[in-house]
Formats: sequence, C-alpha cells, structure tokens
Amino acid sequence: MYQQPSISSYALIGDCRTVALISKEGSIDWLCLPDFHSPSIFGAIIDSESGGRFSITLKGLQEVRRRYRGNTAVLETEMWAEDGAIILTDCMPIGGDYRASNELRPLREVLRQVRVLHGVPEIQVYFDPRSQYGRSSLSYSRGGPFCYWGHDGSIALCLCANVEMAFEESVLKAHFKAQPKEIFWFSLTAEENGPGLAQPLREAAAARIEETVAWWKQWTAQCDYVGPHSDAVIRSAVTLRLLTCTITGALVAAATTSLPEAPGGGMNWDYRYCWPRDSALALDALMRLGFRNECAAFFDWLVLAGNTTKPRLKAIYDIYGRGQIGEKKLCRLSGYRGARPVRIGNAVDRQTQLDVYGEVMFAACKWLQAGNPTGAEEQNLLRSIADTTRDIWRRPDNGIWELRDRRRHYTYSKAMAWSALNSTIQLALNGTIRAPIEPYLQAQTEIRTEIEARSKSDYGAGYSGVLDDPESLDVALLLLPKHGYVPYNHPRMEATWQAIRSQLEEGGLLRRYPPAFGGNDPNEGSLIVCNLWAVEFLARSGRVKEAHDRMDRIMTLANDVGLYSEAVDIKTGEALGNTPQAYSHAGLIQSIMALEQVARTDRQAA
Amino acid sequence: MQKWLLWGFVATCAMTIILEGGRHLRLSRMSLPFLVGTMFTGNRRRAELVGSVLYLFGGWMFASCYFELFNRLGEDGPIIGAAVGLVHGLFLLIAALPVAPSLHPRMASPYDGPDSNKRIEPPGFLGLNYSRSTPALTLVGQAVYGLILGIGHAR
Repeated sequence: MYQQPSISSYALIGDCRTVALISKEGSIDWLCLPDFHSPSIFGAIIDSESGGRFSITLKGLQEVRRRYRGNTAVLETEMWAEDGAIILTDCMPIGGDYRASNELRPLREVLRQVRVLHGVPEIQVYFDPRSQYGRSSLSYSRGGPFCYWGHDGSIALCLCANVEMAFEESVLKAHFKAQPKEIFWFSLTAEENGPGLAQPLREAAAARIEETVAWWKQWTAQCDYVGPHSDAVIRSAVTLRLLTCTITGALVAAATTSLPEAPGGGMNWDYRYCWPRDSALALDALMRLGFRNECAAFFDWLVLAGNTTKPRLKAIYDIYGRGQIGEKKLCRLSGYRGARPVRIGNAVDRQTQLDVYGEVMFAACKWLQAGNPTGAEEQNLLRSIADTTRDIWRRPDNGIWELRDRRRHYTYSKAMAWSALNSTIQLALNGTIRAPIEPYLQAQTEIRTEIEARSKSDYGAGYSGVLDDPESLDVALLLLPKHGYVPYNHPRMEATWQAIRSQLEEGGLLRRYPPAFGGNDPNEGSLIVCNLWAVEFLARSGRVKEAHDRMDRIMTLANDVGLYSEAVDIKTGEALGNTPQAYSHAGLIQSIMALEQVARTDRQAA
Repeated sequence: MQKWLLWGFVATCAMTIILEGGRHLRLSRMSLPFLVGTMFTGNRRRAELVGSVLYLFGGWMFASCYFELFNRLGEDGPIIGAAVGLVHGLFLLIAALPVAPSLHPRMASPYDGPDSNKRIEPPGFLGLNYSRSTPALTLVGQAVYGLILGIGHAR
C-alpha cells in the first residue's frame, strides 16, 4: 500500500495554467487537467489507493537531494541507492509562442528526464492515471511499444517514453537496470476536445527543458529586490507565478484541495480558487518586486470578476471570474492520511466577508497610485465597491477566517470596511476616481466610533476579535496599522499585541484565534501568514530584533525547496493544510521587504 | 449560381455545427478541420484555419459528387440523401480513418519508435480512439449533410 509522504515532501512544477506536486521519492501525486480546479488525473495525495500517481524512483532508495534549477520551476531530484544514483529532472514545458511555432505543442505536458549519475541503479516506473479524482482507472491503449494513449472524457493523454513499459492490470510499469550515463525520457501530454498529441523525446525534449529554464530566468530577471533572504523572495515569487493562471491573470490560493488544517481533522478545504483577499496581498507583493505584467493581468481579472457579482464582492471566484462555485464532498476518497472528507469546490462562495472590500480597495489604491491607468469600467467598479461597503458595514459577516458556524461582528472586518472607504477617499482626492468624499468620510467616522466603543478586550486595553465579545482575540488585528487604521506604536495596538502573544502563542507560533473558536478543531495548525504578520508588525513598531528572531524561525518551516504550506502543526512543526499556499508566500515577501525597508531606514538615519 | 454550390455550403455548415458542436459538448474529440489542416502545417493556428477552409471546399466538392449521383440515380429527396450520407459516413469511419496514419504526415502510428516526430493520436477503427460517441456523431453529421443535399437537389 502506498504511504502518502508528509505535506512538506512535495515540490511544485507547473506551466502557469496547472501544476503538479512531486514527492521526494519522485512520485507525482497531484495533477489536475487542464486547469487548476479540474478533476485530478493523479490524486494519490487525497487517496493513496485510488487517487493515481506517476512515480519514477530507485529500488532501495537511500538518500534524496532536491533543488530547483536556479531561479526556475524546473525541479532536480538526486536519488541515491546502493547500486547507483540518478538525477530526475521534472518540468512542465513553457515558453515559446505557439502561434509562431511550426511544431504541434500539446495543451499541457509533464516532462521527466532521468539521467544516470553513478553506477547501475535499478529504476522503477509506475504510471497509474485515474479519471475524475480516482473514480476509475483511465482507459488507455498501446500505440506501439513506446507510446500509450489514454482518454478521460474530453481529455486525451499520451505517455511517450524511450523505455518499454508493460501493463500490469491497469497500471503501466517498468523496472530496469540502467547503465552509466544513460538518459531516459517520459513525456506525458494532455489535450482537451481534440486528438491526443505525442511529443518527441531526446534532443527535442532537452530543448523544451532549456526553453523552460530560459523562460523562467527571463521572468525572474524582472525582480528588483536586493537584500537578505533574496532566495526565499525569488522562490516565493516563482511560486506565486506558478499559481497564477496565464490565461486570465487570476491567482489560485493553493495548488491542492483537502489537505487538513488539523491533523486527521475535518478542516479540509478546496483552495484551487481565487480569493480576492489573498490575491490582493500577492498583487501588492509582486508589485513591490517589479512584476508589473502579472499585477496588470490580475487587476484586469479583478475588474472582470468584480463586474460579474457587482455591486457585491464575493470571497471567492474561479479562475474565469465566476462567483458560483458550490461545494461537494467526495466521500469515496480516503483523504490525506485519513483526513476526511475530501471536498471539491468551496461553500465560501455563499459567505459574506467584509474584509475583502478593504483588502481589494487597498491593493487597487496602491496599484492606481503607482501611476497605472484606470478607465471608466474600473472607476465604476471601485465606486460600486465603496458604496456597497458603506451600505453593508453594519452587518455581521463570516470574517477573514471564514467561520461557518455563524456570522459575527468582527473587529477586523469593520476595520477593513473603514480601510475600503479610506482608499476610496484617497483615490477621490487625487482624482483617480470621481466621487464625493463626504458620505465616505461620514461612514468612516461611524465605523471608527463603533470599533473604539465596542471592541474592548478582557486582556488589557487592546482590541477584541469580535465586537462586544471581550474574550475573543484575532491575530488579523496586527494588520490594522498597515491599513492606516491605527499607528503601529499606539497603546491599543501594543495592548492587542501583548494579548495576542500571551493568549495565542504556543511554542513560538501564533494561533489565528483562541483554540476551538467557532467550533473549529482545537488542534488546527498555526498559519504561516499569521506569524509573518507578527514579523511585519514587530519590525514596523521598532522591535527589529524580535522580528528577525521570528523570521528566522519561519525560515526553518519551509520545506527543502523553500515551499510553504498553509500552516504548521504547533507541536511537531509538520506542514499542514493545502500546499504551497499563495497567502504564505505573499506574506513572506511582504515581511522580508518590511524588514529590509526598516533596516534601510535605520541605516539612513544612522 | 450553381445549385450544388449553395446547398453544398448549407450542408457543410450543418455538418460542421453537428461535428464541432458535439466536440465542444464533449461527445467526441475528433476535429476534421484540425486533422485536415495538420496535413499541411504544424502550426496549430494556421492548421485550424487552413483545415476549416479546406473542409469547406471538401464539402463543396462532395456536394457536386452527391448531385452527380442523384442525377445518375434519377432519384433525390431527404431519404435518399440521408442514405447516401450514411454510406459516405460508414466509408469514412471504416475505411478512411483507420488508414489515416499512413497518409497523414503528422499522425502517429503503432509502428513508431521512441524517436518518432509524429504527434497526432490516430483515430483508430470507427474513430473510436476519439471517444465511443464518435461513430454515432459522425454518422448523424454525414446523414444530415446528405439529407440537406437531397432536399436541395429536389427543389
């Protein structure tokens, strides 16, 4: 029986339209085709038996070393066994304009190269694609000794290899002893609504890898960040790019579904959709790094998505900007290490989340204030978001943490409504949008009065997480100064930080709210992004040493190739939740840049 | 204007709507314009354009053949038209598609080795590689094509 590796074992490859997760042992355990949120072809990560996987590994594997080739998304896995060693290179080819190419390129391709480094290792190949999240084995046929055609409804798959493989039941396998310096190729292609397309191997395949490497190098060369942790910044930027859909500009929150936020628990959600909140943070991060094309594409997507649900903003959209997602439980799947249920889709589409308005307007404000053009459509949408915020800010909502039990009056949500209006006023004052500011100013004052009067904490003079609930706490309150609601060194913020640290910190990691709040699992992990907010808060409030200490700790939570999942187990430090998560990586970029900015200011002052 | 030109155009459009519509409704993955176009170019965009134009000309060419056949038979109308279309469809599925890998410069065949540059999945007997609904969809498309030409010839 296949043992699912730890969540931190997975590295990411992709072509900015879909992604694959590859374990340290060389197994592709997650691949959805053709889009991020399409059904999986390989889904062993959510069901070890029926999910399907594509593994290339060594018999008697003893040691694994992995790295990305430079600042690219081309993964190199060095595997060592007693008999010898190989280097497995994995990528999803990207680059080149298909319009100009005279070679037929498939819709998607996963390209795997095995090069013998040393000795005569025994290589084992296991290819078991499964249809529709492991519902059934794929029907596929032999198209000669080196080519296999498979079909999953409208998707045509083709596996080409320069080694002969054999069917064992419905699985294609190969087991052979390689000779020194031999090179083996495996190309898996997918085509939708058309005949399958095979891709040539050897020199042509090597050229596709080089083309992909060149594309990524050219992309990362746009990054103008220079400073500490620059490798982590670049890896985070590459990860955000991999999670950004080239076709529409949307950024998905994570590559996976239903990896548990609490070990074995039921907090399993599908993150293969676009949360405007997460995307707004990523937009800000990428903008600061100099990736303007992605920001412009995302802003266009946001206008498209926002217009489909105008005057409301949904908490979640799909990559095509559709706000109707729905949620289904796949009870037949055993989940990641028994964590059931596996969900596809996300019922968050029915929630109200006020903070989304603030975060989107905050990011839009920064984008437009940077001198980027705005048209009538954008102006109308921004005005509509502001008007809706003014109309609905008094209502309870599901909050940033999307609690499903009931709606509450979250302090953070109210403050973000204040922030949305604040951004609108700034845009109106500098003439980016035409709107009278008085109604927004009046609503802002009312919101502030409400928060200051009703957000009182039992743990000192700070803010409570929920209005009129003094026992409640919320780590998101650390973001209030960033949005300009209150200064970093304000006594209420200091008291809030002290309360968060005394009540929510465990083992140096922060919980997002008190254990079991809202009926959630008390064993849920510590969200990476919450810890990163603390870093930025501490740095900007002058506690730089403490901020650095916390950042150093967070750096140890990345996996061997620098990827972060959503959360970590507070007791064991094991990765939890969907992986890799855009919010974590966007937060990482923001925090590192905050540290660098504070250091630069200090250097200039000295 | 020759009658077969007008009715050939109408019949080809109807058949295209059925076959391409069926493809987008996920009933089949067979795209005849794509298969025809890739005989002439490996550029996907150009192939789809060239294939669509050639497909239309092919529709006209076959329309003139159908009209000639109706003249020789001395019979026409929707039923005889649909019957001729069905026979044409069966020929395509049983005889033409299985030999496509031998004729098409970019279509893979079971005899290719690992260094082959042929890329397109072969349709197989009855086009079944492109889904189980392919034969039925093709026959419906061809029958409608013949039916329209039968009506056109009779008018």
